[in-house]
Amino acid sequence: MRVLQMWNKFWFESGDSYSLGLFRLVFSGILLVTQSLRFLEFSLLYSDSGLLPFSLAKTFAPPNYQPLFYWFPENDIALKLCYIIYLGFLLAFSLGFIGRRLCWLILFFHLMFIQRNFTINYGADLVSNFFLFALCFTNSHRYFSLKKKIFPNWSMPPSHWLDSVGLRLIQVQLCVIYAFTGLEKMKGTEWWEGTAVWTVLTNSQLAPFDFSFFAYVPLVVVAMTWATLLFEVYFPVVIWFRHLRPYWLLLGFSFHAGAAFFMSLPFFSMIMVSGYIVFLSQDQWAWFIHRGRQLLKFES
Amino acid sequence: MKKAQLAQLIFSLFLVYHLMAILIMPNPGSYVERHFGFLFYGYTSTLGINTPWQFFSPNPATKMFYEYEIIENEGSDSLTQTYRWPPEKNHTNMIGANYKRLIYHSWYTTSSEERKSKFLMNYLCRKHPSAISISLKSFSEKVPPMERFRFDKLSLAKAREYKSWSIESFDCPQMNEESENARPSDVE
Repeated sequence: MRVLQMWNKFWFESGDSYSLGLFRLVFSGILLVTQSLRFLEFSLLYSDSGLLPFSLAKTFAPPNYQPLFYWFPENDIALKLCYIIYLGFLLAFSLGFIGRRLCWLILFFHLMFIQRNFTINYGADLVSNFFLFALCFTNSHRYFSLKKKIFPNWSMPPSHWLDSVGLRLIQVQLCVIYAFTGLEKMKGTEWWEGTAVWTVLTNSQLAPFDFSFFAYVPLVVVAMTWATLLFEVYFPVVIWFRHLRPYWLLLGFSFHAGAAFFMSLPFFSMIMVSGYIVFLSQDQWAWFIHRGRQLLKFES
Repeated sequence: MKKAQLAQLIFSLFLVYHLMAILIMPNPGSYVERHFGFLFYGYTSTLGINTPWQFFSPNPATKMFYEYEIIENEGSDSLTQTYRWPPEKNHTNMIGANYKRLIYHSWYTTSSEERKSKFLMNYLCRKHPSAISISLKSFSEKVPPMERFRFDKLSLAKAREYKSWSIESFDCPQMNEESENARPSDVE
């Protein structure tokens, strides 16, 4: 019974609408930008005459990875129209006009384009699948929403236990991602040697500049390599200790900021870091915002 | 039992299922995935949550690219032109985020021989409708270890080593007949 109580408390009584609202605002804003930029190459990425024609799109995934059904239209104009509708919904979502029910529609459109061309999806798209799925359980527009300002008569939905579920799904998923990717790295000799980051820094497909000068400060490379390993492997454990949490999140922020700069992965990094928002409570965010304003001298 | 409690109990069953899915599916080939994965394939694949988490693991990937020659005529007067896939970033007008997608496309469509001929060649043949065959050469780029890089005192551009590790030839005519009206969109 005690286990059941702990389970219920963890999954159904931990909703923090403030953090959810802030996460929604930040994550959907980033998603809107990445999807808008992707639209610039719509013809190459999604049209029938592009990288993957309609006739081959449903044959790419191996049998165990095939969706139960596909729902992208096999027509360029219809597909483009769906993309524009998707962007419109994303904008409305980021501004706080969309709650739990319509979020499923956003997920529907998001997955439509994941399915349309599996060959061009990468980390940012895959992590977004999980985050959007989790947000579908929440009314994340209770905070940071323009809806109340524009429609004063709109009555904000009360907090619901599903909000807690959504928040926990995001937290648990981040732990799963770091655990698996960290443990996978432990199979690699370069990560054990401490030289993996050197390979990344000198990969001209990733690194935007010449970072070969790091060869003259090799201990920095070793520190970055092992810090990455330790951060990822221990994230699922350390993050649940309240007093260590802010420091581990700060380490994660540094880690992803480095990935954004050294590997030209800004959007993936931003999406991962946006997930950190749900690990902090409203009080903690209020403290951060207050300190930020003090530092910027907006407040005394 | 109250309505909310009953709903939470039923929902808990879904949560257990979902947790098992996100813990089992990222480890493809494991004993548990081989024997119990069938319970989760449809659910995870439809929601797009069926993915292994292998960022830069087990080791970071090195740069890989392809040079391909298109052959436009048969016989002694055959014309060949050489191209690169994915094209160099500075040879495109794409922004970085979209260019990265070309890199992933080249990884995924060359992860097996079947995918190479079915997906990458399909695109390249449509991209070059005058080609009757395409010869594909694979390259990997390697940079020496830090210690050797320091000892050799070379610049990064000079230190890079390129290794070619396969040359394959693919015929295009059939693809051209099927896709006469589907001149592919080019990388701009």
